Amino acid sequence: MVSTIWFIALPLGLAFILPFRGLGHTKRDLTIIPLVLTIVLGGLLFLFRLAVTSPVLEGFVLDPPLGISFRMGATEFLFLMIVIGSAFLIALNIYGEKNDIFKGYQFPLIFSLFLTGAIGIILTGDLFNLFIFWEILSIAAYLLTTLEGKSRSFEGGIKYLLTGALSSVFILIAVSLIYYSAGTMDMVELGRLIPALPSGFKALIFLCLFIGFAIEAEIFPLNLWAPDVFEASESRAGGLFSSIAVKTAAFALLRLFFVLFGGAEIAGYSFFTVLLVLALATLIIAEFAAFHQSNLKRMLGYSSIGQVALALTALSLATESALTAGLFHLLNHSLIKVLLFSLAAFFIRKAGSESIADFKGMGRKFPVAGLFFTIGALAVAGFPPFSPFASKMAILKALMDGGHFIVLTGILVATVVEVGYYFKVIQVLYAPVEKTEKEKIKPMVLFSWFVPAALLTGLGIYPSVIMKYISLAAGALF
Amino acid sequence: MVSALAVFFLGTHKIIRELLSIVSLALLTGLLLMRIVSPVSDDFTWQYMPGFFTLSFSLSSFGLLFALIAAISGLLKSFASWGINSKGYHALFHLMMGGLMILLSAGDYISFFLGWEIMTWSSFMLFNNFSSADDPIEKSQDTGFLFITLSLISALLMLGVLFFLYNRTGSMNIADGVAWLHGVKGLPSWIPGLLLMSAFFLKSGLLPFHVWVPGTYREAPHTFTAFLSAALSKVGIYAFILFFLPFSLNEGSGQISYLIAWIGAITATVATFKAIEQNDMKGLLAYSSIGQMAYVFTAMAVGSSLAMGGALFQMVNHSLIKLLLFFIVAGIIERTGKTRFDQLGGLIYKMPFSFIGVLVGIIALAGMPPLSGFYGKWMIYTSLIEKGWLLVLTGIVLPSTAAFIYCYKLIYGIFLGHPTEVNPEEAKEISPRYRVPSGLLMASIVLLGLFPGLILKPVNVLLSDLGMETLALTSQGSLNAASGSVSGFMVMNVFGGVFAVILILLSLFGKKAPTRNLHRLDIAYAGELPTEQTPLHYGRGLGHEVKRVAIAGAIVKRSLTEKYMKIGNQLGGILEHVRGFYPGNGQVSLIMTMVGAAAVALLIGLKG
Repeated sequence: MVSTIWFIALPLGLAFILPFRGLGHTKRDLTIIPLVLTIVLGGLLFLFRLAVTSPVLEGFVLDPPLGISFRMGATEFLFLMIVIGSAFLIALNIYGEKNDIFKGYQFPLIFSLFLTGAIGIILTGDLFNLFIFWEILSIAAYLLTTLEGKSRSFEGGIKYLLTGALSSVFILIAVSLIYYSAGTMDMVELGRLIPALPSGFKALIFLCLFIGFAIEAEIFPLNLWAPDVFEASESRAGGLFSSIAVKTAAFALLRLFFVLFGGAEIAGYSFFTVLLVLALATLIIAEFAAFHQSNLKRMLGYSSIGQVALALTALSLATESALTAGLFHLLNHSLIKVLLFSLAAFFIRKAGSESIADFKGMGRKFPVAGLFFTIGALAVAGFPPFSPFASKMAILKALMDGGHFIVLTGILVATVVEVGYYFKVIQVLYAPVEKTEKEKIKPMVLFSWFVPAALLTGLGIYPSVIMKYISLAAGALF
Repeated sequence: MVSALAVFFLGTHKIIRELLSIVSLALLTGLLLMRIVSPVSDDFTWQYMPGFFTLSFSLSSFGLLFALIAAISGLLKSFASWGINSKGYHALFHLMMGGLMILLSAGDYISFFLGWEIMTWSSFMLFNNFSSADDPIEKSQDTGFLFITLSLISALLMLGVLFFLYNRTGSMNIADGVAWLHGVKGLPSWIPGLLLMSAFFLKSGLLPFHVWVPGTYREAPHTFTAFLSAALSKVGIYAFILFFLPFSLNEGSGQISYLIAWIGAITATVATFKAIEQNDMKGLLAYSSIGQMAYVFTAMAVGSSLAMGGALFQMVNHSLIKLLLFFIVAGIIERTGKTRFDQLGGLIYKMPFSFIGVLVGIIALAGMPPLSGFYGKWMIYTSLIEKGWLLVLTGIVLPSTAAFIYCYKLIYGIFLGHPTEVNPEEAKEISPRYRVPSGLLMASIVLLGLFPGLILKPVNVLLSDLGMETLALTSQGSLNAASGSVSGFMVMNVFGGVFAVILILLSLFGKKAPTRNLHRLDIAYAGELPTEQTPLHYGRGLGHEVKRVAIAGAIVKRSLTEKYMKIGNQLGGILEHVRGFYPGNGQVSLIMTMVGAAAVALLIGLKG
């Protein structure tokens, strides 16, 4: 019985069950629950791959376009793969290397809610459910930020809450406007109805949805919350935001541009240009701002903003090859950030500080962690033979096919800056120190680093392995 | 085959034992040599990213020359660094070799850039991560930062131009891009070409982009410095040849080649004076490297076949000399723990082998007959005269004469004069793992001096591949040009004869003056008694005087590195201001977000 509903029902049901069964006040270590959950979801995804070959559209309660419906095509499959894969790796890392804040029932609960939201946004076929899942994801994310329980994390959480509320308000306005004018919430149906609306009205709807999604997708000038939140939350929570929440927001943007506003053109003017300009500005400003960062988590946050903006630059070109490149880059970026944020958690715990200057010689003390960090840093900077090299080259090629030479120059300049700050970290990690005892690292943690690093390297050498799926996903958008 | 080779190298990067490392490098050298004997066509394409990139590899005769230089340097280098490296070092070194081979056999932009980048980051890691704890050379963060940023700027400048060429030609093949570059008319349309050239100049360390070289060479692991100088600095030359030769096809090339010739001459001058002033052995050799590379570029700018032959000869020769000198210097640093001239001195009795090695090295480096360095310079000078660029010739002869001073400093500072911080009684000859490759290198330098044809014959093949006239070689040992000819064999015999005559005369008639071994502080007729602290050593003073020479002084006193750091800091300041976009204050950022949303609305509203 393979059905898309399980992807939502499992984590959501888990979130409801968890507070009961006498677990409410336990301080027991329940970090295995998220791990099992992600494994089950991964298995489900695999089963889905085997059982279903053509895109699925399932309606519940009523048939689409009226009831709740879930769509599962190549694009959705790719994004589910990204979300569940990243969630699995982070859950594995948390299970392997526990922090006190992950004990008790809160973390598994928030984690399942977070996954519900992310998967829901990807699968849902109607706009109102998208809004609901958006809220679930956001609330779970606020909670994740405050998990550490320090005053700083509450400050970050409140900032996130306020900005996130702004995002929700915009989406809600758009949803009500759409329902008012079109009378349906089904996105495919809306894709047919919206072009008939008056152009001013269309622009307003587009604007509200765009601002709502762009806040979460960390597009400048709507991403001012992001560095603060990355700094305030535990590194691996930051990893969840970077590799899951932002990716779902990017997916929502894709839905907006390709499904709701097919071609995104109003009165002869393409909104893709707006996205291109904003994404380029985001990339450059984020990378520049990261350069002087002394806090590792904040630096990774900036870098995350920049990389997603790079992928969005490609997506905004709206050609099939550019989309392929952009989606590939999103996938690679998830792998990188899972790796780097888990390593950041490790280094921060070992050094007892978040300041980069305090990581002096850590790469010599923990050679394996240093090696993986180096791989991550090289990958994020787009060095071969790691997969972001391939996706970045593909993005640049797509840009040149469109003749966007200025954008290309901007990306290259941002890359120089990015390499500058990542290599400064590497220099610190390998700064000569007095000989110290090498410490053992738990195999589970090692494994959670090894998998993304191996994938980055493997996909960098043979990107053709995955290109088939990605170009299918890109093709399905048109 | 070549690409398979590269993959093989990537594959072997878990090598733990030195032996395996050497065997694999020897295998590489052997395979490359086999290609000379039996040229096979083994072009190779690879569907890297279906729909995006297909990588194509084929090794041209030029690529083969550079690959051979790299492979042999690598082989000698891993022999010299036997037993002192960790396994990560080997992994990175082989990765870098792999990158280099990919670069040299690349047929399209992506594989070219891929090789270039692999080489860049792995050499940075080698530079950054592997300094032994008892290394007397302090590493500074700035050097590494300068190295990686400038390398990257070079790489991305190149990438930008390559993608521009792709945009123009619609093809990723290097050959098409080269055709486009040679097809453009007039100087202004050469802008992409000039940008591309700057990227290559940066890699080879030409002025004004040389700032990363001295620090990097000084602070890198010693034997790796030898490899940097012998093989990696040649990559810029290879890329230059690949994209820009032959010049004469293009209309606007006259001014450009004149410009390059001057850049070469100025670089050589500045680098030579800087080298004279250096007090650090590796620093001196680094500046000398910059200067020698500059001659090659000047020669390539001249563009005649004599000049190209000279350039290639000079290049091969430079690799041999720098390997030799860096190996010996590495050996001395290992034995004594000292890196500066004023810390050494008087080591000749204890290190006769090293002394002879350095002697051979500097004679060849200074371009004095009868050793190999002479022919390269002779060819370059002759070609400049033939071309009529006499002013450039002056600019080349000046540093090449001044180079005698630093060559002298190299041998005097280490081996002659008074010993200072190192007690010569305790010193030992450099270890055999340095001696064996050095001996081979010395032999090959002498052999090339005898028979320059050993290099010039293959050079002729390369020249005909470029579509240029071949050099007039009458026999194995002699070379003809319009303005004269030179025979290595004869020169060597004459020198040998004169040397023998002088030796005989001296031993027959030279009276041995009565000598006494005195302590170095025992200066019988000095006005005041020197103490241990008195700087008696020649190495301390030599080079300081350069500051008082008119132009040279001005060059030596100025430091471009500081200027670059200043510019870097200014840029960093701008980046600091960008940070202001992210206030970190909740209220401010919320208000700014709303303003931002309004701005986005305006952007969309205005357009839509």
